[in-house]
Amino acid sequence: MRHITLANLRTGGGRLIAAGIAVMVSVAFITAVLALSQSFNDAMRKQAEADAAGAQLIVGYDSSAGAPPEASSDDPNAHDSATGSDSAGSDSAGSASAELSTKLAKRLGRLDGVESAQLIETTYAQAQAGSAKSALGLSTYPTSRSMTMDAGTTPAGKDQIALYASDAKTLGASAGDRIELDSDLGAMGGDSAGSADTKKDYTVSGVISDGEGYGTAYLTSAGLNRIDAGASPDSIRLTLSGNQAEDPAALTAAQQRVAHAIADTAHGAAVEDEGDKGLAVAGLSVQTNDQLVGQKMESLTGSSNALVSIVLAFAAIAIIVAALVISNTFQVLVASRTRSLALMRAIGATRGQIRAATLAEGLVLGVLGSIAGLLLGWAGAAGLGLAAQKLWLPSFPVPGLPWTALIAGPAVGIVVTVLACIVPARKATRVSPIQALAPLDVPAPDRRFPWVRAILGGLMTAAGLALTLTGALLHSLLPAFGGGVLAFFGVLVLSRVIVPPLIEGCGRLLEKLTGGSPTAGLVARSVRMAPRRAASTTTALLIGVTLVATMVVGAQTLKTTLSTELVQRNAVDAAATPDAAKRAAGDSDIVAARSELAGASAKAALSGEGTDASGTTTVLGATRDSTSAARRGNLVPERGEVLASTSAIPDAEVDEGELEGARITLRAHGESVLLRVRVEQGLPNGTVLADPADIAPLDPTQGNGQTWLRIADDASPSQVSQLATDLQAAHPAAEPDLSGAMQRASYGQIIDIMLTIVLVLLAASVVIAIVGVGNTLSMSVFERTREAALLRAMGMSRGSVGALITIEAVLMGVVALVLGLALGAFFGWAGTSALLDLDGVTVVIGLPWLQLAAIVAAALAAAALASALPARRISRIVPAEGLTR
Amino acid sequence: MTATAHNPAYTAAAQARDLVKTYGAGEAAVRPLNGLSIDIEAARFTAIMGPSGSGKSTLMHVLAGLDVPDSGRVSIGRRDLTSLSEKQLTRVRREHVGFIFQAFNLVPAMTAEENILLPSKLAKKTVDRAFHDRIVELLGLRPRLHHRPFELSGGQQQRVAVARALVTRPDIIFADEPTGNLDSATGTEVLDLLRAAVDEFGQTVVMVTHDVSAAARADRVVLLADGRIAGDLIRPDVQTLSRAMLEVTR
Repeated sequence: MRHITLANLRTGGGRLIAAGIAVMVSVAFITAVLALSQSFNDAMRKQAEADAAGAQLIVGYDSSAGAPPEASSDDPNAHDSATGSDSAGSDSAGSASAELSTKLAKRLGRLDGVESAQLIETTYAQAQAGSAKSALGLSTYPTSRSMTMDAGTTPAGKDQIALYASDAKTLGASAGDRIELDSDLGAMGGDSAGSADTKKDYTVSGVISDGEGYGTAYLTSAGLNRIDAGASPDSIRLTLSGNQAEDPAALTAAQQRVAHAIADTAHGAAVEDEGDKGLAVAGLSVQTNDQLVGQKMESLTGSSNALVSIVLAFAAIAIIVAALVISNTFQVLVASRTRSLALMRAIGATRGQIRAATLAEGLVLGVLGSIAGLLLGWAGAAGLGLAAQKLWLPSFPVPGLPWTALIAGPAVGIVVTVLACIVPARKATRVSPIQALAPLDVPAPDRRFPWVRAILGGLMTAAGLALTLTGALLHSLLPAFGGGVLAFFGVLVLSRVIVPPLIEGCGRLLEKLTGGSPTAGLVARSVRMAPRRAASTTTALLIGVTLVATMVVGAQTLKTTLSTELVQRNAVDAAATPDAAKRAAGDSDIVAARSELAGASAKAALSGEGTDASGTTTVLGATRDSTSAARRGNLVPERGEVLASTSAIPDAEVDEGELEGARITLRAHGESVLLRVRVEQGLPNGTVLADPADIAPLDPTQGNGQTWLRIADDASPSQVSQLATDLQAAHPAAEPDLSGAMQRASYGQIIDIMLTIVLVLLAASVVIAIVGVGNTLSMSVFERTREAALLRAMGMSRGSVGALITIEAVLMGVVALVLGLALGAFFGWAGTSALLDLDGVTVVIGLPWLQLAAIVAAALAAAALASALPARRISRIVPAEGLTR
Repeated sequence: MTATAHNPAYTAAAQARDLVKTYGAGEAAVRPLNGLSIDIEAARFTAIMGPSGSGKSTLMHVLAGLDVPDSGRVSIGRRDLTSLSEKQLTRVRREHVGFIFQAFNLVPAMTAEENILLPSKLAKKTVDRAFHDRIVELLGLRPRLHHRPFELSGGQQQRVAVARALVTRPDIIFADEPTGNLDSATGTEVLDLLRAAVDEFGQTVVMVTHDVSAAARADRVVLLADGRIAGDLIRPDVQTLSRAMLEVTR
């Protein structure tokens, strides 16, 4: 059997490479994901350890665990006189609680065996040095933690601050420089907001080495309270005297002492032993260094594991595609070996030996592919790790090869390869010895209609699509997802039934279009000779196209739907005074359209059933033309009508039902008009719309009107916020309303980022599919050597013979595109509809034409590219040699 | 139909001069053509015989423009093939040469009819429908036209190949062991057809074979040995031919 395997491997040689690549890419994917997640965990552990370093016991304020002990105390006669009296009513992390925490820290510091106790508080601020800005976490400098300094010293005075090197770089600040902190984080966008009393100046006392962490700046306790008197207590770090920390029993005893001291301040609250998590008392935790790190890691690992399982789902898709490619390769290999297999049977090989030889070949391929994949994945992870180190987290460790990847990668690779060989191995055993002796005959096509597949696949597809549709209409994710998976596998099962006729049909159509080109005609006819091969190659492409199309259509549908919803809330992207708009938005490249509406400031009085309110409002003369920049087309009032939202009249608290049909009197320049209200939500604040002719007596002018802007759909949130700032600056009283545009831009950005991540994850599957197409085509060349030689002898040109392969590949691409785009569009819509459960929102499919066109171009280019080498090879067949073989 | 037959002896349909062809190098080198020259007369049935390795297949491939000699000249009609590019050779093949092979004569995916029409289609030439129908009738292929190769018997496949070779009226038809895969009755039938192609349609046919009784149906038999002509017989009978072959083989 070993001999057979070796002989097979020798003859298989080059043709096994593609299947090997498929195994390799899948294994590399798994390896990289596991290695990176391991690395990520290591980075987090390092950070957690660094955070806890130096303290032997840590009293933790867990925000979710409830109020600190003093807050729960209502006894004015507590042991510590300060504890009870100050605590009443203080249940938030305000200054009172900060004071209490300070007292608790002092108290713990006086305990036997405790050397020092320091309260660590944290808050956030916007840091600014020159024009550079960065949001930073602020923390009390932990004196027990010794940090490696790149330059300068740790903060000592109340106006000193120490930064991590990476943050210092972002701010362009070095030791001795002055930076400004602003505790008002809301001031991040504009520069006029943020009053002076939220800003404080500090001097950079030193720069901390990057190995320690990032994103946090350290101050003295007094320095922290300067910027935020109400900073929340984070922990109390305790150091112990002597060698207590090295002696587990002494450490535990100290931990108990601390916990009971806290319990005493909370009048004998119970001390609970939470095992690995340490002790809990009165909403605080008392943990040893190890326990704190352990607990932090546990919660982190939980969320990173969830992320890893999502990413591994994409690995699973890659593996399915790889299995298809491998199985395909072996089926064709077995077919091309029929004669030699028959010869082996004739000279005495048993069926079992033939089967074992084929499986062994798969095993060897799986092992080799897995080793290559392991190395490739490791290299890829290391590259990404290095990039993360450079661009994001300087302390990110370069990924090693974790044992999970070392086992899981090859295990999956080998098992999948061997499983994919089972069907081909069974076929190999069916070769009868007689076939060795039979003359080389014209191959007969596989003519059996695959009834089982047709029925099973049809049922799966129909049931799956129905389930998906149900899930989509009921906005329920589970049936939609399950149905989608079922339908997709149904289509894969059906592919053997529907794909070959489709390719043949396309080929015949092409033949007609080219006026009877023999090449196109031959491609169409040849599909019938090897329908299985055509189907499985197309399937590999189909998986890629469907998944990518699902994602892009889903994302676009989500955008369109959210946009529809946003348009309901805000009919206009941005409204500003004409003056401000002219100055700030005149040359903005994100303004897609603008409308100028003349208007007047009017006193509005409402009278209707149970309503009586009045206020000043801006009334605008609206026509179809003057509202063209709005997102909605229904903003044109009829004669005698005024469009108003429930917030149109300041101080008027009316609901929609009351407002609809109410009468409104608008007064300006001593004139007044009486109009009937039609409720239209989403108008700019304090604005109503009326027919220009109706409000003519109020003397509307352009200057008192508004300019409406439509913001380009692809504007980024920062562009929109810049425009808002500019409008504000151009006219301080403009009060530009850009919430519609801002939300659209933010959602768009999030959706685009998610889409990019998903597409990157799908890339592995797509690569495997393309390798698979190339592989199948080169097999096809091998099988058709004699035919190609015959055609060349008959006078078919080299180019035409090569075109046989290229056209075949492109037709497969076309069929995969037709099916994949249709399925993807449906799945994308259904997925979004299932995901979104917004009241009264119909999910309308959004088709991103540009991206869909890119999929078409990419799939056809990939097919053509994959066919390049095989086409070249078949066109090089010398007729005389091909015929005599 | 017999326009070229009135002066057959002096018209060469194909000519070869001083052909040399070597495969491989050093110890393993074989030289199937070793300074060989030959004229193929038009409207005649020429058989090329010789033992295995005598160079008969290589000669046919070179004459037909399927392969290129290392040195020497080949022409079909007045067309010198030696100076032609690959593209031009392909054109010569599809416009002036017909082929019948031992096996795998037909494109598996095409019906008999499509196979017969393939060369005209490749050359983008319209088919003489009347001539096509006459050949199809003559070869008894009418009921088989819409079958694909795997549905045809070996003899039927060869008949389709003959029809394909005849229908474009090429300058010369090459047949490579056309009876090699057939039983003797079917083989005789195919030889009858080739004979008829010469006698009735004035075709030039060159057949490579190692079957003495097949070669005996030819007008002329050229014997090859070691890449050279070892004998040239006009209408030999089976006995003469057998003796000549034995001598060559010895």
